[in-house]
Amino acid sequence: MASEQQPILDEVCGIVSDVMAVPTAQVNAQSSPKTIGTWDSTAHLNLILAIEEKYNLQLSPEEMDAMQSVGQIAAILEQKVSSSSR
Amino acid sequence: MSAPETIPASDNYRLNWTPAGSFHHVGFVVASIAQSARSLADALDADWDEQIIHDPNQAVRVTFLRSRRAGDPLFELVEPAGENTPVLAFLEQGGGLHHICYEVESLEAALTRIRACGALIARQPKPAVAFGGRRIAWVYTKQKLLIEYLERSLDGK
Repeated sequence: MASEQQPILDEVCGIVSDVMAVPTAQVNAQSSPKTIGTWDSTAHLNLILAIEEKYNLQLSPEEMDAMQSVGQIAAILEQKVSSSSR
Repeated sequence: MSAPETIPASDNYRLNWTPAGSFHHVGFVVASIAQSARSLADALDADWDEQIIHDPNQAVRVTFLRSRRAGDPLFELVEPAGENTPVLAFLEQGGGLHHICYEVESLEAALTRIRACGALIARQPKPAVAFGGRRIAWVYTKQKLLIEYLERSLDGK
């Protein structure tokens, strides 16, 4: 499961890096609003918009609320992408 | 000069100033309503009734300026009320123009329509003290515009 999630995790790290304006090397699965200073509520909305555009999907309010770290975002996306491809 | 009146949530205050169209107001975030409302009203050629409404649900205090030109939307000043307020980060970046608000017949219909355009529901419908308990919802568009929807009637019907 972890190996399947790695590509999405890498992609999410890249999106977070772009949206939050921080170097990719500073972004990992544990990155969150607590570790990235520019990750405020507006940046979080920009991040959700970027994710929806990249993966061409719509996230539910519950999924948006649950996306509180890069790892959580990748896990939710992995689940959605795999369920939509079945 | 006396201090502006702060209206508590329990007063079930209902805004009497209602614009003619559906463009209800422009929201502007300030550090202090008391220190900025009068001069901003002068600059906008607007009236201010000095009523400041505390909305604990939104963790803000708001007041409204009414343009002396017929048909203009209202101008809402928003100041933080506490640490856990959604406008604090915006204010720390300088504050200023924050959102626009449209009055809609049905929040659910408006949210469904704009969600289909790719916008996000930033905050789900919730009663707002500033509008006498009428529900509001917040939307963030792909173009990074923050929109507040205000339901026209109290019961949503």
